Amino acid sequence: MYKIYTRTVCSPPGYIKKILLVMKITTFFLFAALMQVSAAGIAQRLTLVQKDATLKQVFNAINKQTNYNIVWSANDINGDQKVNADFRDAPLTEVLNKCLENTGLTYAIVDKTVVIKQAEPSILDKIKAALAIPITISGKVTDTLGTPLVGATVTIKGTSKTTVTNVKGEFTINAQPGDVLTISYIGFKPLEIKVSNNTPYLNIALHQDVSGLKEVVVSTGYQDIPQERATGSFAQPIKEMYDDRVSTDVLSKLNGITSGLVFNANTSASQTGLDITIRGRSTILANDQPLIVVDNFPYSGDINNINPNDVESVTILKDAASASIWGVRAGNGVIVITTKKGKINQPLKIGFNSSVTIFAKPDLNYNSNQLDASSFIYLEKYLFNQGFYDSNLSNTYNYPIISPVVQLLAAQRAGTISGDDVTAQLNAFAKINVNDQLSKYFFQNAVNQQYALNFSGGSDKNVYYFSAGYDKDLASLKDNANQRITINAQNTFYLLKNLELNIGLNAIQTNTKSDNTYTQTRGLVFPYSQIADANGNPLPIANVYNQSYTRNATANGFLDWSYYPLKDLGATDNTTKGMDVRFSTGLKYTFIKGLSGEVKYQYENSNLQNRVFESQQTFYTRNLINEYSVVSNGQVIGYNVPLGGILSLGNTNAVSNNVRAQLNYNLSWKDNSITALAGYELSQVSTDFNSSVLYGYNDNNATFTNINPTTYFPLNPGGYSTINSGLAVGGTLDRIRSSFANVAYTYKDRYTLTGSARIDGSNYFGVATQQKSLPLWSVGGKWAVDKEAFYKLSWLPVFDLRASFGYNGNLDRSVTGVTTLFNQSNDPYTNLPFSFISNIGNPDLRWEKTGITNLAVDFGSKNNIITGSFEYYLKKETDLLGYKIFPENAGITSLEGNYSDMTGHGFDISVTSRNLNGGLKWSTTVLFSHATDKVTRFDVPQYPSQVVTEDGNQTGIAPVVGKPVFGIYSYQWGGLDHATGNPVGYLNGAKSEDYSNINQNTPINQLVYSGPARPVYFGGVNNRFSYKGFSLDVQVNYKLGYYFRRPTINYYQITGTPTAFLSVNRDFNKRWMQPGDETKTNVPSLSYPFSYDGSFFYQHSLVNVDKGDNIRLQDINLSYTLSRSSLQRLPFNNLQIFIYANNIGILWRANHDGIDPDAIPAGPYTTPNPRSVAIGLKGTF
Amino acid sequence: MKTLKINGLIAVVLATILLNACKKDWLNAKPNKALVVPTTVADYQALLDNSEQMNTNYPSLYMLGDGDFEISDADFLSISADQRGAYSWADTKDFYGGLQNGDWITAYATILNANVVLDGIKSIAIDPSSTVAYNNVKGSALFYRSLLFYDLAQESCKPYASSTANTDLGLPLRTSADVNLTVERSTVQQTYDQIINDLLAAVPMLPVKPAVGMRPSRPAAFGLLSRVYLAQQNYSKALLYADSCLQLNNSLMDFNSLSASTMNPIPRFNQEDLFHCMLNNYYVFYYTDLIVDPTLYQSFAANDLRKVIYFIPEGNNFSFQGSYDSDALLYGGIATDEMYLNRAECYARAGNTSAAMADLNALLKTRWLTGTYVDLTAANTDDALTKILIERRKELCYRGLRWTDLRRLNTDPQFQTTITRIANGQTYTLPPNSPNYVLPLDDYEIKVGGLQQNPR
Repeated sequence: MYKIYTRTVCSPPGYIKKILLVMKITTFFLFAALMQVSAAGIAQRLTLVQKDATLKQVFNAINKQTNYNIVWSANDINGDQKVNADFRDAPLTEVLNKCLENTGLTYAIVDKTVVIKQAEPSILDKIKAALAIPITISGKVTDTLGTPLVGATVTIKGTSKTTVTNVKGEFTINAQPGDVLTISYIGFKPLEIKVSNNTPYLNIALHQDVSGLKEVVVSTGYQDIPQERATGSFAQPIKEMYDDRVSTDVLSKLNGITSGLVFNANTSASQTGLDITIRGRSTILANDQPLIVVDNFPYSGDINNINPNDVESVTILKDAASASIWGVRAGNGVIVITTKKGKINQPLKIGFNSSVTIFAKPDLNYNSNQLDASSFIYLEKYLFNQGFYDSNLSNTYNYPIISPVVQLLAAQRAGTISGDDVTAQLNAFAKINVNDQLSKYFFQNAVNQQYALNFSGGSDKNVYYFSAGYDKDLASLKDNANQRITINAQNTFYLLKNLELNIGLNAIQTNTKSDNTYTQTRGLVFPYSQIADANGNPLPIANVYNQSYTRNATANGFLDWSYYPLKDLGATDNTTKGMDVRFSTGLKYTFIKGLSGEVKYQYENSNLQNRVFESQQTFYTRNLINEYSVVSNGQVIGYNVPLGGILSLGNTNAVSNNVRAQLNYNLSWKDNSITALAGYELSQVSTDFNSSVLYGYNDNNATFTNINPTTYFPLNPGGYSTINSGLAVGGTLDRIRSSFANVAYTYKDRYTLTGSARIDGSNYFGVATQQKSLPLWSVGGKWAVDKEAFYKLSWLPVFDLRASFGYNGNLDRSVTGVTTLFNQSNDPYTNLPFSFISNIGNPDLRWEKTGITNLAVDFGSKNNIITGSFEYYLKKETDLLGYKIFPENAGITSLEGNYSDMTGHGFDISVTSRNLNGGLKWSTTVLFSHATDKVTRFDVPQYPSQVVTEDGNQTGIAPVVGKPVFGIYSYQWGGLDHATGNPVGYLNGAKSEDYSNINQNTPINQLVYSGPARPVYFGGVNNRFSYKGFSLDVQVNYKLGYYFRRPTINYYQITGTPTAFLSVNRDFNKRWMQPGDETKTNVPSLSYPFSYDGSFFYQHSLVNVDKGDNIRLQDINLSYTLSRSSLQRLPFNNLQIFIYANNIGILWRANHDGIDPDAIPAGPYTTPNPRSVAIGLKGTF
Repeated sequence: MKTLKINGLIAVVLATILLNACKKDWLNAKPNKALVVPTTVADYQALLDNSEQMNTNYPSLYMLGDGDFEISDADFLSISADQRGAYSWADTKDFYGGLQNGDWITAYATILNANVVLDGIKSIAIDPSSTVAYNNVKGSALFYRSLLFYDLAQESCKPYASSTANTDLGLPLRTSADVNLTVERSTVQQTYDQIINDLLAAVPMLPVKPAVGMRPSRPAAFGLLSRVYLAQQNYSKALLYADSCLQLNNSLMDFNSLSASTMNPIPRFNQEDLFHCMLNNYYVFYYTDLIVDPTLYQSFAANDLRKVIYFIPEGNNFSFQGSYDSDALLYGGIATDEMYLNRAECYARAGNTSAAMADLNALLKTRWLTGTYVDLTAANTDDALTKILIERRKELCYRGLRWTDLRRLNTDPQFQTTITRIANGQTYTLPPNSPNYVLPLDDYEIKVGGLQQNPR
């Protein structure tokens, strides 16, 4: 009996089906099936003339020309063996005899079936083998340029006898004559050599395997597609650089090494997380962030929680053909993250990774919105003499903070201190830079520690991946830290031959400790403030009220009302515990070959619990108790806020459920192949939150005291207020129901057509039913020109064209179609529940739609020296949410609806060049992207003062039709007035100092438009060098073609915060002081009272616009890898030691003001990302 | 066999999912628990219970021009254009400096809320158990809308004069929640008719005592009717409704029970407060900026407790702290003291001197230090009227009422007032019956709403 793994060619379909149904039962059923095929009468002769035909081709010919079936096992028999066929009307047996000669194969004919099998060795052969004396074969393996290949595998075919080449590429192995040596090395075509008694020293040169290297698979989250068949625009980060980068999160590692993707800086979103744009902006008001998919489903937790060590690959879906399978959530592109899995028939592999990253302290003096102490004192003296502080000094209602300098000046005026003493003290103050102490006492070098361990492997019944990670991060701000534990288990069981079960469990626990003392303190200090004395003992500063008031309060029975920043540091227990559990399972059943069905389910629960305990030792608690103290005749006689601590609790829970049922179909016949899938999906994310505040809380006993949250209590020193109960509760629910289908057809491996369609429905509130669902579709095509017969360019062996068109969607659930009310609790006057109009009805509301056309060329030069792609795209966004204006008497002045349109276009170029391929390898990848956007319809006319304030940071959006969503506009600049140093602008073409009129009435088209506020060209250049075990990665990122508004002095803002603190720009020192200065400076003179309009005009005039273009050395990774192949005694398969530096520095910037365009000072606290250095170890064994 | 079972299992799972999901309700779930499409009386009551929307930011830009206070030159230069415009009765082209009129925006937003309620409850069936709640909602919405129309009419329409009311430009009378409707300006007559008819309809629907301090009540509706008729100089009707109001509630606060040493000493929801609402909070109203007109301050006698309850020293001047909101926001509601003064004035104008003086004395007695007040007497009705009007200005200062009083009293040569002020070295004057007693509409409203501008 034979053990046959069948492979039949061109059999009747019914036969196939039967064979498949009985797959587990072999010979008996096989023969039973064969019996049914006996049809008679066709001659058993055939004609085949072909030099170097493969066995496969011969078998095919037999199948076609005779009515005999051929059964053979692809596993046991190499169908690619070459034979010389020259048969003209030859009998079948002759053909078989000749072809199988010297192949070690034999055949048997049973009824009308030819069964091909391995020839049994003859007894003689067996004896020979037993007696054979092994011969020693040695040789050297190199690439075609003669560079030794270290660690190449040399195996005796059909045995487990194997060796690897040493550092010189040499090997020695014992073999028998007649054995076949297989020499293989990753990325090269394997070579086979037959051993004979007189085999010489072998000089083996392996050829690079071009096709093997190109075997890149892209994932859409619904299917994996070989890149050769992808018509859409997919991007993956440069693999080596991605793996080399050290980061606690997955997404930030994409920066600069992923085509078409840019990280926005200075935006409000980038302050709290990453702000990512894929191929330019596609919306005005709706969500602008890409959809993030982790292992088939959108991720609803905090993406920063995913341990990057568990990530196998990241794929960016950029156009409609790639992304429209994600429907209404794909409008901003999709980022698909796939985590690591085990591999079939792989022995246990253990991997580990450990690193320590140390960050520089942030440079507090970087920010120009701070004034040095001596100039600040000058300014305070000037303002004091103008009477600016008089109302504060006499304010006995809420005793505002008075700066130490103003206190001195006031005391001098009152005659309680001598002028000399004041001068001496001011001179001492002038030498202080408060940043020295802030940096010393609040900051430390941030340290991230990362440890990860994983086990993976598999048999033919099951594969597994298990990992555990631990991260410990100390932030640069003291008493701020974060810990993360991740546990991940992924299992796949092959229950039956055609039934596959996946089970995954992922648990992440985070623990974040926060302390906000610094953020509080920095808003209270003056440039000469001291928070510690010379010995490091804490010093008090004024907080909320001036110190003359708080000092006296203690005598009246108030709690100590002083604020010592350094005593408060660490005194609050502010911890956030996060738990994110993800359970996923999938069942896949292959009905017949090519047709499978699968059901996937994922449950995710993300929970965040915040606990803030502020004991009576904290200023916050003491201040609140004091403010609400009951006072009679100036003495405290009771407390409305009870004595003790204050405990604030918050709890947010998000549960997501996703179910997907999908049918997959693959069929190949002759030159055709089809891949199709269709399915149905439900997704639901529900969140719940609640919060509360407990007063008089005793952390030892867990006791607290009820407060009265409804009564207005008189406050000290003045005013009335209620006590905040902190009670809140709420919940949201997002549902999406989708049907989707996707089909790809390839002909002759040359032409590929793809199409996808999807209909999404959601619980889009109050929208007409027919608009709850949105059909979106795409089509794409690819033409492998290089495979055409006419294609003759031998220097450019790879040349493919791709094109796609389709629609993606976007949705904003905050607007609704009918008039909806939003309920709230505790009206401030009555404490009743109340509601407000959340949306006034807009029955025409629908989803945003983005149409994308993508045209691309893929190319590769001879020997893959240069490979790359060029992609051009056009976008047209319609039905974008925008505003329409209404008269005031309508009750609304604008309404959000689908009133806007946009267009955009750009390109992504990605080129990799292998510059050196000898012992020293050097390759360069250049990514260059261009992205533009233009608003083509936006109904609300903007005021000039709105347009000039919009700096692309998304705090407000004031689009101008015909321009990008974010642009830098300014007032025309007419220099400084010679006599006064006042700024001069233009009104109706003439020079003017009528600022109010300029600010409010300059027509938009007379504002100066400098250019976009977001980079139009961006990308990175990656150079990778490797020599022996060393490798070096150098990444340069750049952003070009954009503008920003340089921070400068706004005198009026000093009035806005009478205490001023740190926030006066250094440009103060460059101000106009006397006639003639206007030739040297553009900074207006100091003249009180400050004019709001004058300051506004100057700040937003053209003279303060800079180019944002910059090139930065982003990061460098240097590593050394030891592998067992080079060091036999190594207990590891390989071990890598690396050192990695990030945020290294700016190589070039267009501005001359020392501003990092990724950290434009907004307010006095912005600092650039600090440099960091990591060292670490990773390996497998 | 095994495969069949598994096939079956998949089929069952698939079928379950599909059936579940095909239910229409699945996509009709609320995306946020707090969201609601209003359908019940309670939903609409909740909308009216939004105090910050319904009871604050009542029109008050005109109050900057009523002459009862001054601001410093520094403030004059730094305040927004609209405030400067109102303070100096600027020309139309300079009045708003490109800004929009905040009073119009907030008042019409509140009117939209009232209209959403009035449109919405039309489709709610009333059953006996819900009649009271339904009436309260409907009556309240009419009341809010009327009060705002009245306030806006004082700001943006000519004073009511029966001879020209049918041609004078009134307000765009929004009575529907459909924001897409275009509404032209009505006439002053139509505006006042709308206000009065709505209030008359609201009166029987409103409770005598509201369940919550911020909600309108029947006495408040009577009080507002009296205020509106007074503005129309229809003194008999103003008398009737002031009296109707006081019949239901005539309590007065004794200022001797208040502590002048606490900031903002007049308690919120005190017994005089019939309807509680606050004026739009312009920067100049803040107590550190508002300088009480010295002659006004000096007109209070030493034993008049209002002198210390209403006013607080601020630098070398005095500021105002007498809001009935016990807070920095100025009160613009309806209170019994105003009704006493309305009734007294109407009695005097009707020739009933003794009744007029009785009302005035009843009020003032509660304002003076216990045991120091001596009843005022009047030689004749004119004397009574003069005394009442003096006390009216003193008692009701900083409630937004002075402007309308100036507009109506200027028609009587006996009580005409010219307001003069010096700001940043420049003298500004508002003569009696000036067209500047009508504020212009802002440019936006002219442009977007296509409304006709007021002549100035």
